[in-house]
Order: sequence, then structure tokens, then C-alpha cells
Amino acid sequence: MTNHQHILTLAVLLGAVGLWLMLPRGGARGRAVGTVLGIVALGLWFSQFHGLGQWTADGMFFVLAAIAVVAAVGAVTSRNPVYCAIWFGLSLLGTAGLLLLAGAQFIAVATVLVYAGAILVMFLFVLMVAQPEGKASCDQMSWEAGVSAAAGIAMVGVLSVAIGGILAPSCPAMPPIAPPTQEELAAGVLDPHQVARLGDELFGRRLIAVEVAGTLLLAALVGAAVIVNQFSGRRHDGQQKTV
Amino acid sequence: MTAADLRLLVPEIVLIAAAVTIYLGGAFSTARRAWSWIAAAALLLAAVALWSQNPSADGGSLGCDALARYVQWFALAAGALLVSLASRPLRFDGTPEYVGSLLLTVAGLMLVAAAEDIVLMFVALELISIPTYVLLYLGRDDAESQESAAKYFFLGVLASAILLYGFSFLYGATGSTAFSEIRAALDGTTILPPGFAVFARLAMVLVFAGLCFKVAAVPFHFYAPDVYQGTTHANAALLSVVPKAAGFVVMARILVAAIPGMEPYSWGVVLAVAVLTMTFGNVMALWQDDFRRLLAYSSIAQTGYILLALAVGLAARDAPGAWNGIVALWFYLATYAAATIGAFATMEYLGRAERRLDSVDDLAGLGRTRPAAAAVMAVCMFSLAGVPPLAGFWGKLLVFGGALSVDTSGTAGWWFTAAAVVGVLNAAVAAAYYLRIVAVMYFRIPLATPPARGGRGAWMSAVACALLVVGIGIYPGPLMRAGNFCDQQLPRVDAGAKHHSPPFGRQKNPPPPQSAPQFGMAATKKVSTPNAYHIRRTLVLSQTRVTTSCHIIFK
Repeated sequence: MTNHQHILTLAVLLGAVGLWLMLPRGGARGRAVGTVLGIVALGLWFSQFHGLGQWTADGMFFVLAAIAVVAAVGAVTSRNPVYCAIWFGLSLLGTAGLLLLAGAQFIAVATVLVYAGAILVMFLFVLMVAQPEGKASCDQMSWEAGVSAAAGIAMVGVLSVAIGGILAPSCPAMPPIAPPTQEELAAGVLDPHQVARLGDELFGRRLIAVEVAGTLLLAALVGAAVIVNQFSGRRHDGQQKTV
Repeated sequence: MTAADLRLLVPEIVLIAAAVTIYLGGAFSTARRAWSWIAAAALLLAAVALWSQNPSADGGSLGCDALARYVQWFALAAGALLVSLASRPLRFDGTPEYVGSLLLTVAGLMLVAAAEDIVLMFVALELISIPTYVLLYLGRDDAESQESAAKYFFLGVLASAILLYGFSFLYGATGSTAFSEIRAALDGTTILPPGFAVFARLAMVLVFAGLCFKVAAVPFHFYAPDVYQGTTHANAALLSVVPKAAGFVVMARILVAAIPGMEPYSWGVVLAVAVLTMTFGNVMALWQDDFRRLLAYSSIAQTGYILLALAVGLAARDAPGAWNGIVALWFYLATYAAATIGAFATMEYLGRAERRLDSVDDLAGLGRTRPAAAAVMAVCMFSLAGVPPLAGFWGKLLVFGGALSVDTSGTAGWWFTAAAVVGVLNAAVAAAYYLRIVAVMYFRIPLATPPARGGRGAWMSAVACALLVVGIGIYPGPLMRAGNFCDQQLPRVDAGAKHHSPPFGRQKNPPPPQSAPQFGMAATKKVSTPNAYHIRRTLVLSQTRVTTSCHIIFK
């Protein structure tokens, strides 16, 4: 194992312990320690992924990546569901920024519109209607925090090793990925007609998939209507019986 | 999207149009029988359209190879059986939505079979999943049913997310969503950036994990018993056939065809899951008293056998003819589906709207009170157990024969021999609980005569399934040939850069079946017959199985 891999492994393990300490587990403490460990892990991690391009682009990348990762950790460790939802939204904004940095304007905007706009608002509405109080019963079982931290970090570890293997500075067979040149960018993602081409692709080559997705939404809509009717019908029956 | 694509899509369009009509019409009339008839007519129309298609047309993101054809016919047949089975659902309102969603799942399965592109495949898979969630909600009107529907919904969404994550890695590694281009990128035809192939391996694991949920394989099986128990017979039949078939199609398309060069790694994963799945399912099924729960564990176990066939297909892609696993996979799937739908349809028929038959004990003495239904049920159970003259026997013969014929010169051969031995022992265990149902029906004193008011549709479906099981058992040739076509048209590793499975009669290797517009209709190439040694070996093993099961039963 090279030094690079040692540091990555250390980062992943520290991240796992930190995440476990931060997750809501009954009345357990140690969130401060967990936060410190998580920050250290994040620093170690980022220190191993360099050489993507110029330092300004790198700087932007790391800031946005840190926002996305920290907010994601916040979303799973926060105890108040409303805060969870807002952390989630922040994480999505970070992701959208990363996508924008990579030149995928459409996906970036779509992420903000669909997730931060629609899904997050729906979460908030659900929370408003349901009004959960106190800790959910699932947060009081202490072993689940360990299992979910382990599962999440196992995924992160696998990905770190896979991507770190490509980006390893010591790895001779793998030259660092060259950033795209201005010409490439102009022909690709910076093309002013990029979104038009996307539409062309969507309603040309992918027309069948789009149509099937429409059918899918119809089925979901019909299903939702039927299920809601069923419940409200039952509620009316119940009321009639009590009257 | 071209006119050729559109013509290929006619059967699916017919089904979706019928479903939309039924949804719309359901707002005005909830007549149950009429909607079932319309659904049956739509299925018939789709079958006619499928029959009259010109299979040499080659669409962009739509394939029309033999595998697509086989699964499309399978979907239509299963759809007809399920519509007939559910023609008298237990809930009164919501029938139009039920029948419409059923048609959409059938259309989804047909699209999954034809998809040549990750995006279309995922959307088509969801076209199976989402109507299935609706069907589960519509099945019964009690807390148990709602719980099982919610359970299936949340786990299904999670599995879809895992699957999509895997797809995104596949796209990220190869830069394309078309199977042909993914395959070209991974078998070295086009140059990938160094190190990117590792993502294909990640994608393989994630895709397989996501699909394990659909087929109810072991680490992802745990929803099955609760969901089957909590829902109706018709829904349980649907769950045990349609998502499974879709899962296996995607596995065959992606693991076998789209990710080349990963077989030495993937067969190990699939084999381990297969052995765990069959053992777990069979052992757990021994203790069950609820009929649907028992069949849920049985369906988990049967998934294990089919996965064993898939593992053989991955490890011995070049083995000739019937023994190379892929043939066994499709053959087994069809026989399993017929027997399972038959069993559920019989249960549905024996019940009544107010009184459903749930437990195995409800079948006591059925041989005396309802001899015809008992005979149908017995045929299905014998087939699931793999008793010789019936369809299930040939399925097991192909699976175990394939596993035993993997080249024993390498380590793979020994693993597969061991897996086959485990499989045969499992089949012995399985015989114990399948035959217990038969014993309950014929050797117990009847407690009460089952009402048998489940409707003519359910009875027709049950009888059709029993006839299919017996028919395939007596004359398995056409179905095996159809499976063989599916196998030949999946791309092979050694076929060079020829990634895309071309339409009929254009591939180089192996020799193509000439002009087979519909499978089994104009079959010209014969299945290479299993040699005497293999048959003998398998028969000896199955004899051991029968002896062991007798021991277990009489103990």
C-alpha cells in the first residue's frame, strides 16, 4: 500500500467514526468530537485529490464540494426534521454548483428547480402537515446509527479507492486527467446551443423513454388518486358510524 | 425514433392505450367484468400485432432479438393469465384502476425486454414497479395489506435508486447509454481513459444488487414473505412472475451481454447469491403454514435455481446448446411462472369474496371435496417440486445439468459441482413442503368444503396453467428451442467487436437460426441434445433427491 492509500484509508475510517459520533443515537454525546474528526477526515480526503486544473478552479471545486459534503452530513445527523430538510437543500445547492463548474448548466439548473424547488418544498409541506414531535422511534435504537454509518462509509471507501486509484499521484500508469481545452469546451458544454441540442436528444433519440415516462406519471397519478379516495372514503365511513 | 421503431412498439401502444381507456372509463362505470374483457381483448390485439411484426426491422433504442420476442410472448401470456385470475377482485371499487395498472405492468415488461438502452430500460422497469405499488394498495382493504404495500413501496424505491446508481456508473465509465456502445467501450473496441474499467465492476455490483430486490434474491428477499402474506392471491401471483421476469431480463442483458470481460468475477457473485437464496428459501418454507407465505419462500428458492442458471451462463458462455445456462434460465422461468400462477389461481378460485383461503390447512381433504381443483393444485406443486413428467423437472434438469457440465478442469467446475449438489439437496428439502400440500389435500379429513366462488376467470387461469405445465412436461422441445434462440442472439465475448445482437440471421458466430419470425414456430436449428452421461448423472442425483424427500416426509 502506498502512502496515498494509507491516507485515504485513514480519512475514510476517521470519517466513519466521526459520522457515527454525530448521528442521533438515543442520548449519546460526542457530537463535537465527531465534528472535529469529520473535518479532519474531509481535509485528509481533499488533500489526496488534486491536480484537476488551475488553483482557482480547484479552489471553487473544494469550496463547493465541502458545502455539499458538510450539508449532507448535516442532513443525516440533524435531530430536527426541518433542519434535515434545509441541510438537504444546501447540499443540493452545493451539488448544483459542482455541476455548473463542470459545465453542465442544464443539469445544474434542473437540480435546483426539481430538488431544491419541488422536492424540498414537498418535504417541508409534509413536515408541516405531519408535525413530528420529539425524536422518531427509529432514532432511539442505538445500533442503527452504527450500521448506517458503516454502510455509508463503506460506499465512500469503495469510491475513494476507485477514484483515488485513478488520481493517485504516485501511480505511473495513470496520467492525471487533462482539463478540457477551450476548443473542446466551446464545442461541447459551452456551446450556446447546448440546451437546444439536449432537447433534440430528448425528443429525438430518447422519445420512447420520454413517452414511457409520461405513462409512468399517469400511472402514479391514477394510483395516488385511487389511494387517497380509498382513505378518505374510509374516513367518511368512520365518521358516519360515530355519528 | 423512426417509423420502424413505431411499428415495433405497436403491441405496447395497444396495451397502454387500452389501459388509458380503462382508467378514463373507470370514472363512469366500475363494471368489473366488462373491464376485464376489454383488457383481455387488448392483450389479444397486442398478441396479433406482435405476431404480425416483421422482426428484421432494427430500431435504435429498441431491440427485437429472440430474447425480446420470448419475453414479450411470456409477458402477454402471463398478462392474460393474470387478467383472467383477477377478473373477480375482492375489492369492489377500484377495479378499472386495477385492470389498467395490470396492463401497464405487462407493457412495462415488454418494453424492458426490447430496451437496448439504459434509460429506456430503467423507465420501463419503473413502468412495472409503479403500477405494481398501485395494485398492491388496491388488493385488499385492511391494515395488513396497507402495511405490505408500504413495505414493498419503500424497499422498491430504494432498490430502484441502487439500480440507477449502478446505471450511472456504467454511463460514467463508458460515456454511453446504449448497450451496444457500452459493450464496445468495455471489450476494448474503443479506448477508455485508464482505470475507468473499475467503475464497470462497481456498476455490475450495484446493478445486480438493485435487481436482486426485483427477483427476491437473498440479501434483498426479506420483503417477500410479508408482502405476499399481506396481499391477495392475484397480487402475489403478479409479484412472483412479472418483476422476476423483468429482473432476469435485465440481468441477462447487462451482466451477460453489456459488461464483457467481467465473467470471472461476476459468476462468483451470482453463484454465491444463488446458493444462499435457494437454501434460505427452502429451509424457511418448511415452517410456514400460511399458503402465500409458503409460496413466497418457495419463490425465493426458485429464484436461487434461476440464478444458478445465470451463473452457469456467465461462467460457461461458450458451452454448446442446452447446457450453457442461459437456455435453462428462460426455460425455468416459464415453467416456474406457469406453476406458480396456477397455484395462486386455484387458491383464488377456491375462496370467496368474504372468505379467502389463507392457510395450508384450509386445503385439508380437497381431494374429496373439490377433486378437480385438487388435481390442478397437485400438478402445480409436483411441477414446482420437479417431479419427472412435468415441466418443472425439465427446468431443474437443465439447471443442474448445466451446473454439472461446467468444465471441471478449472476451479470454476468444482464450485459449480458443489453448487449443483447443494441445489439437488435443496430440491429434496423443497419436495418436503410441496408434497406436504399434496398430502394435506389427499390424506387429511376435510374440515369444510371450500366455497369455490372465486370466479370462472380464476378457474380458467388455473386450468390453463395446469395444462401448460403438463404440456411443457410432455413436449418441452419448442420452449427449449425458444430459449436456445435467446441464448444464441445474446452477444458473446469471443464474437469480437460484434457487440450488438443483430436481428435474425446476421450474426457471424454461432450459425444463425434461419428465418424464425416467431420463436418456436419455424425453428430450424435443433437444440444440441444433452449427452447420455449428463442425463445419467442428473437422473442419479434426482433419484437421491426423491429418496431423501421420502425420508423427510415420513420422518
